[in-house]
Amino acid sequence: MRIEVVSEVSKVVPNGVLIARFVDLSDLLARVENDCELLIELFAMFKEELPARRAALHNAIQLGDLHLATAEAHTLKGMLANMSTKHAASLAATIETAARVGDMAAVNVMLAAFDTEIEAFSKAVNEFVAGH
Amino acid sequence: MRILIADDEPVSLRMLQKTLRRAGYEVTAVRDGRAAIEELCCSDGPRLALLDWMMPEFDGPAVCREVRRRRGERHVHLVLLTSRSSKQDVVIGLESGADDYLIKPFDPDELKARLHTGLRILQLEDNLVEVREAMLYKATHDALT
Repeated sequence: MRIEVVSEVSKVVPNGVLIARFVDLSDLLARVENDCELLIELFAMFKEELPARRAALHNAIQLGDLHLATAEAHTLKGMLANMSTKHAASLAATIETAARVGDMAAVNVMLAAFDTEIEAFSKAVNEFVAGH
Repeated sequence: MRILIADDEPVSLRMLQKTLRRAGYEVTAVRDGRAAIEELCCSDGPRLALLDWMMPEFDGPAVCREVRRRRGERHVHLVLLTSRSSKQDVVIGLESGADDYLIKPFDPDELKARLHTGLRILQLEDNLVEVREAMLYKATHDALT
């Protein structure tokens, strides 16, 4: 069933299969009102924006500034949710929650999981954007 | 109808801008709370606004408080659009002076419907002002006196 949905959406979004493992494309298409050009433009912007936001989160955690880390994780959660990247957004949300309650150990554990997910996703986004 | 959107995250800002332009709004986009206040507090500034919560300089609730304080009599319809979704956040947001509260990621149909509600309120206010001014004119220009 999932394969059928991805296949259907990939017909609408050229090369959509590259990002469909990470992104709920039907949800995102509904949000952009089926505007594929906008969707591609948004991913190109996202690709430019993501490294700085990730670096800001890492920096805040390295400095032990959990107030700033909460804000940065919140921003990443919003960015990812906006692009219907639901699993990565939920990982950012767990970092935000852990940072808000001052649980540095949990922050570091969740950050490792988040980084793994984001690195794979970034690679997919880069390929997707390069194909347009 | 003019609308201000304020969000420090460029992807979200672009998505909103496109959705609202498609819906027929004339969009002014800013990336921090101070710029939002400046735009909304101009005498001819937009009377409808979508504000993110977490922004540099002034956050969304601070923008609401400042606009309510400075804008005076003329109503500006302020909507907070944020991924902060707890009941406590909703209460804080509305208590700060926001007229409505939407949670990110937005649904385009819901967003447009909520903004229509705002437009109806602004239209109602315009009608009330018009009637009040007409009554004031009649009270001071009675044909018999």
